[in-house]
Amino acid sequence: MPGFEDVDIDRPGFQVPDDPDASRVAQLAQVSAELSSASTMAAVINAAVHHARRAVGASVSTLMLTEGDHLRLVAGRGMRVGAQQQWETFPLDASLPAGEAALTATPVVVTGVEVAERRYPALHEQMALGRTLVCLPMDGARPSVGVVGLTFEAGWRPGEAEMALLSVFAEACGQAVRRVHASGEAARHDWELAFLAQVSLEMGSDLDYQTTLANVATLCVPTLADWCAVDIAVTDGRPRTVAVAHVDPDQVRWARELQERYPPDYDAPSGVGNVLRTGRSEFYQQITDEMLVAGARDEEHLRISRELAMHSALVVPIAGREQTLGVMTLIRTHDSPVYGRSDVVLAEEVGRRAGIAIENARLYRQTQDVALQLQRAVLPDAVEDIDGWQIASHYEPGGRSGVGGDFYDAVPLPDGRLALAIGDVMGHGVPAAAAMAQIRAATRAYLSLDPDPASVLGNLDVMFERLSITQLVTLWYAVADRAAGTIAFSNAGHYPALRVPAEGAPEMLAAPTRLPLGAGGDERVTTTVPLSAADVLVLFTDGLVERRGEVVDEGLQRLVTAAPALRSPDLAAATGRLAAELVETDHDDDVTMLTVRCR
Amino acid sequence: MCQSKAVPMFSTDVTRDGDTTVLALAGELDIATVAELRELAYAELDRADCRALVLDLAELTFLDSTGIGCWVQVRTHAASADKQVVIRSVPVGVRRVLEISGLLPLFS
Repeated sequence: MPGFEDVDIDRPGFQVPDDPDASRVAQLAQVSAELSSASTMAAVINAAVHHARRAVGASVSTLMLTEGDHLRLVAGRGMRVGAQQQWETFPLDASLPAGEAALTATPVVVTGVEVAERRYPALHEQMALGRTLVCLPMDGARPSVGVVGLTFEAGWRPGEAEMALLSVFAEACGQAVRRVHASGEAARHDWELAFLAQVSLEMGSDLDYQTTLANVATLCVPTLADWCAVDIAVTDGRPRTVAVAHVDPDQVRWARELQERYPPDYDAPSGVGNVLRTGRSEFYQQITDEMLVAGARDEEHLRISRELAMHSALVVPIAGREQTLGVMTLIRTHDSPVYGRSDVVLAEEVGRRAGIAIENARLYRQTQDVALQLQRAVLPDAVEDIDGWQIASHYEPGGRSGVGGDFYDAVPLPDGRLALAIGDVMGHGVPAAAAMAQIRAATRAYLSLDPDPASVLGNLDVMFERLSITQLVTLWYAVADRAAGTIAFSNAGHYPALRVPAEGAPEMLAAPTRLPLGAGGDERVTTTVPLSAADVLVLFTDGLVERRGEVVDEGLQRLVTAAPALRSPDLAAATGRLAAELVETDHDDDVTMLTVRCR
Repeated sequence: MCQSKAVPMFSTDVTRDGDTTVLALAGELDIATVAELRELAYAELDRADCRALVLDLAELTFLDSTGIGCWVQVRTHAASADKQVVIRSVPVGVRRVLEISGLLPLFS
């Protein structure tokens, strides 16, 4: 706020002279030119209040702007001490000349004599008999955007020509104010866009919506609020506070304590519960002490509320497509500016975006469930023992990255042999689970035509090429022959199976390394090795042996070391125990294992 | 509380040297980040003056099967235009995974 010092005016008033170069008129023209180029409120005030006062020889000059149904004094010069506080803001309809000028969009001229005659009793003290107050509306709107007030001394009173000139000057002030407002709004608009972009980025970065909302609450502080709380409707329809952020980290504790000790009454006709029920924002521009007193449950509650010094609040819905999902409370405290209508619009937009983020997160979870159901539908629930073969399986869907595309199969052949397959569609989610179902069905079809490993893989290569499948799939496929005591296998980029003999060290069934399916095809070969009656075969996918931050050989070594436990007569139980031993609880990838023993 | 994530999980540095583009991959390449790499790699390969793409893996800290799948897609895309994709500074863990899956020769 500019100063309010008193300065002597050399000669009160001015007159429109015959000579157009006469200095005061020229000065006023100069001020109008200055106003037309002013780009900040400070520049407008400097011209409209300080320079104009000199130019027209006024003892007091003021600039008041209309805010709602009030006039606010934004600058004044020459006012007596204390007057600026007295007139800081007053109602338009308070029977004062400035308010009248704004409401009627017509200049009002009042002399000390008229005030003395009690036309404006409130001005009695400061209007000496010889003074003249001129209040000029800044545009033709009702109420006008603002009012310029000028006080002249020594009984001087502007004539018709002077009033015309002053009116032009006041309009120049109005134009300058509107221009500054508009450019301020443009700057705010830019800022809002940047802020919303940041909010969207934050929301897109995490599918866990509680983390997302906590991040958004933090983002709102301090730009949009000094204190931000987010409540979410949980299953029973009652809100639960999921995030609190405060500009002063120490105050977060206070804010939380206030929430815990005095939980909000969600059934109250206003506040969080009401916004959740109605989906409509609540806007408290000025929170007065009376409001705090009225809302306090007891002395302690009032004390904490006062300590938090909240003075302006917004409660906006977090809107979903069909219902209100939660509520965001934004509070300004201490010296921060009070909220305006544009803040309501911005906060509601943040709420809408938060709603979309929450629904996306829920949708993601549902999609994940679909993928899981798809996979479970395709994988055998539990593989059964097949004449002469003892078979067990273990499957755990991955955590963080969603369901993968692991699959396995064990198919008895008419001649007593057993076809075995384990594969991994490289990818996650519904597409991987769907591709897995396709490959498993194709493998079954090809092995019924010709179960030879190289033939099955070769046929799958042809299918991938004909159907232009680019999904990479690793597959280990074998035919175990009990009668011949052999196992024949072929490998398309998968982990080799492990053979655990009744005695001696387990060994990987190594075969020439060939490309996965979907990598353009490869020459497929069948490798045949001996298989003894008590041998256990372990078919597995990467989830069993891979861990973040280590080379896979370590995982393979763990498997080789632990695998002898599968010699236990209860193969199913031993398989489950082995998986539990090898896999970390927070594993990312699917864990799939198939164990087979020839009886 | 409410720490926002400042460190990106995955980033790529692009360096063009004559007809070769080097993409230096840093961080974790998995389902969450493959799309970014694929988009960048395709854009480079689609440039007329790019003949070869080098994936520098020195700063790669994690790779899952989706990441490997992405490399193969990029390689297939390159091969269709008679362009090369090679990997270098391959961490031992990544090399083992590529050996096991038989894919290592595709990128040498």
